[in-house]
Amino acid sequence: MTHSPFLGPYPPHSPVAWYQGTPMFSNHVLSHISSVCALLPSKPYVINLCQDRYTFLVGLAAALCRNHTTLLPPNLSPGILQELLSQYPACYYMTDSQEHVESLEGITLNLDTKPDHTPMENPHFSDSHVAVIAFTSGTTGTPRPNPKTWGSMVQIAKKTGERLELSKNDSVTIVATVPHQHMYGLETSIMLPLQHGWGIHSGRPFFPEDIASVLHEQQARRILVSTPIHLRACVMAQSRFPDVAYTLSATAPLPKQLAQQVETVFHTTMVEIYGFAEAGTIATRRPVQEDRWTVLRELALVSHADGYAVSTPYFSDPVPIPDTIQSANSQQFTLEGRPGHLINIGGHRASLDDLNVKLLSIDGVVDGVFYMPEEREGSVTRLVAFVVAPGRTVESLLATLRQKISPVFLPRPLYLVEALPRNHTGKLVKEDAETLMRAQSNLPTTPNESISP
Amino acid sequence: MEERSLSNQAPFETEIAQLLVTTLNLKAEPVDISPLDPLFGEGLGLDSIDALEIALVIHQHYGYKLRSDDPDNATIFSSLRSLCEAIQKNRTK
Repeated sequence: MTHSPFLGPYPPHSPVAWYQGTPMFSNHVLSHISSVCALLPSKPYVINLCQDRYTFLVGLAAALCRNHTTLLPPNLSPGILQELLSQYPACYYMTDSQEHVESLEGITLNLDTKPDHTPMENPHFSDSHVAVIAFTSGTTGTPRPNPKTWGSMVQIAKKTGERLELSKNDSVTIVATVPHQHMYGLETSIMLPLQHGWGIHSGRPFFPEDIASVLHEQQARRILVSTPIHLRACVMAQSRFPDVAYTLSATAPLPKQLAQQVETVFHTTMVEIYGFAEAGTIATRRPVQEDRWTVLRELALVSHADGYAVSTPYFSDPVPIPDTIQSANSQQFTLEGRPGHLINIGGHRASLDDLNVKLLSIDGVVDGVFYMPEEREGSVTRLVAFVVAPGRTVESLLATLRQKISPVFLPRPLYLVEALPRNHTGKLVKEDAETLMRAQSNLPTTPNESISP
Repeated sequence: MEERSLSNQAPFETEIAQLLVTTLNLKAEPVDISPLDPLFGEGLGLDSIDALEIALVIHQHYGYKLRSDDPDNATIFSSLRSLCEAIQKNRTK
């Protein structure tokens, strides 16, 4: 049975993390882990609610030292919690705030910036141990478990880091705008730096100005882990950002134009990450240079049912890829969108994701989305689009779109709106789209009459 | 004594309420936003993506850059009134 260390190759004077503005070196971290280890109840499952990134990682390590498995629910709504507890009754929680979970044993972590516990040795954990179970909200409403072995998490972190051309001697700090309780955040803001000996900023800057000031505080080379939503806000805020060696983005498609702007504003190399709940990160690309994704080293695309799966050294079976892809070879592919997003109009197929990216790439378009209205009898249902583009006219937008997409997919109509009612995950849900469409249709002038593809 | 609208909004509060409604495409009428109700979670039910949008328009309109590490932050976003007070205090245009 193979084992992998918790801490990667940290030179003696390289902090593992910046916690409350104080550098935490390996011996501090190992002291903290050791002290927390002693506090944990003897139950195999733990929900780690710690908001501070450093406290979270100490809690994660302590749980691993006791062979516990950390549960990462999508949220802590009463329904989800009840479901979780029925599946994993031998469960406790840890928190770094006043948060209290009813009817569950919990411990509160208050880490001192000057730990006095005797540091333990850098712990090594079994690669086959299920370190984390990340839950995704399943289609039925029941959270779906995605178990992650320690070995798979370590391998993904190592292989993702290979995509960033940083030398072993580089001092690097990772700043993340994303939560560490989701797989993308856990992989990139905790596992990636830990396995490469890079520093972790323990906070979670949110507004562009916060992101700018936290980045400015870092003396080492910087990596920014973020999402298209935050990156767009940063680009629009015109804050002054220091140079960032690499910027990582995931969770939603990153329009090429935004990727280009990010590279300019941060003097950075923008790397987009592709992954999904079952397999974690599987591929990366640099959007300004390539449309194709390249899978991580030692991964390969294999045919599976109607689509593809990815084979890895760390999952026993190939993992089906939920998106529709076109493979160029066993290492490279292009993304065609989720099957649910595929549309068919008069025999022409397209992906809404792809259309949205094209729409967002138009100059002057701040936000926008294509929407397939509910089917109505008697006529072919056409796409509509809601577009936020101050200063641009419906006609000029359609003229540009006409150059980019097949006429059959041109929106009828294209609604110019002031903003999109996106939900908390950044999506426009059907109900809101229908409401928006009804509201727009009732306006006295509809721009669609004179427009035909 | 400041002039108050029917909903007890001060004029600047009405201006910001209008900005919130248009920026976030809320279904509410600006006058329906009670100055003391919470903006996030309960109350108006805004979320973190809205917060980013609000920060952007406030910067564009008033030159004030919001920060989440501002010690007053929990207060700033607690209601329309406190948001307005923060903008008045920090605006550059």
